Amino acid sequence: MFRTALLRSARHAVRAAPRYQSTIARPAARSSPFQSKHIAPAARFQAVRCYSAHAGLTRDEVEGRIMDLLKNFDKVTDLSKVNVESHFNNDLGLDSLDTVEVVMAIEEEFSLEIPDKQADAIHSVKQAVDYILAQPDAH
Amino acid sequence: MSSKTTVLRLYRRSLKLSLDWAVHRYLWRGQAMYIRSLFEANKHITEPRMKRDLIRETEDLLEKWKHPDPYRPPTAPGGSKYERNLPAPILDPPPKMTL
Repeated sequence: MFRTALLRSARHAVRAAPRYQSTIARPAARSSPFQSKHIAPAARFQAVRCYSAHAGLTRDEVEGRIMDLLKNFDKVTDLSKVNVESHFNNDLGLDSLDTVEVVMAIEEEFSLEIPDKQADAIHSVKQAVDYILAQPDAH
Repeated sequence: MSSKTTVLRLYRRSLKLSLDWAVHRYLWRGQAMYIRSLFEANKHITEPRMKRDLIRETEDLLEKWKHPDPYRPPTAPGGSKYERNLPAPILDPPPKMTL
């Protein structure tokens, strides 16, 4: 029974092989008995690796993540004031050192490094969102 | 550069430096609060000479505790992903010249 299964998978492999490029089809690997049991017939020749490019961040996503971050910040007391337009100092009542902490948290959230000069210029949610959207390597 | 900006940058640098040294986040949290209290303690100083001394003292401290292998974000210069997957150079042949 084991041998028939192996033969069958080998036959499938031979039949299916010419349909694909030789660089991506690997009949030898697929005919091994450990793999042929688990692989559904449709997925038999998916030896192509799918690499995906970074799709970029949408504005809604960036805004949502920054606002979640601000809502979890313990010095923001009035959660109803956290919106897209809110200013860290005027609306949320954060002082300048808190603003530094928020900018650091934003850096960690999007895993990038904001240079000092640009970090000094971020005082509101909108400025932060604009900066993040301008960065190609924000995650 | 005003001294406020300088102090903010120093605060940022000291937070990052302590994050470099801290092994865990919960340890860093206490250090961050301590750093914050140090900065808060000198909040009301307005005399320029004292401010300058404090700034210099902080810079000396930061220099003394400089980390030999600081954390770099992957895509920043010196990071592990810096200049990886660059766009390909222009491979097209040059346009034909009619002389």
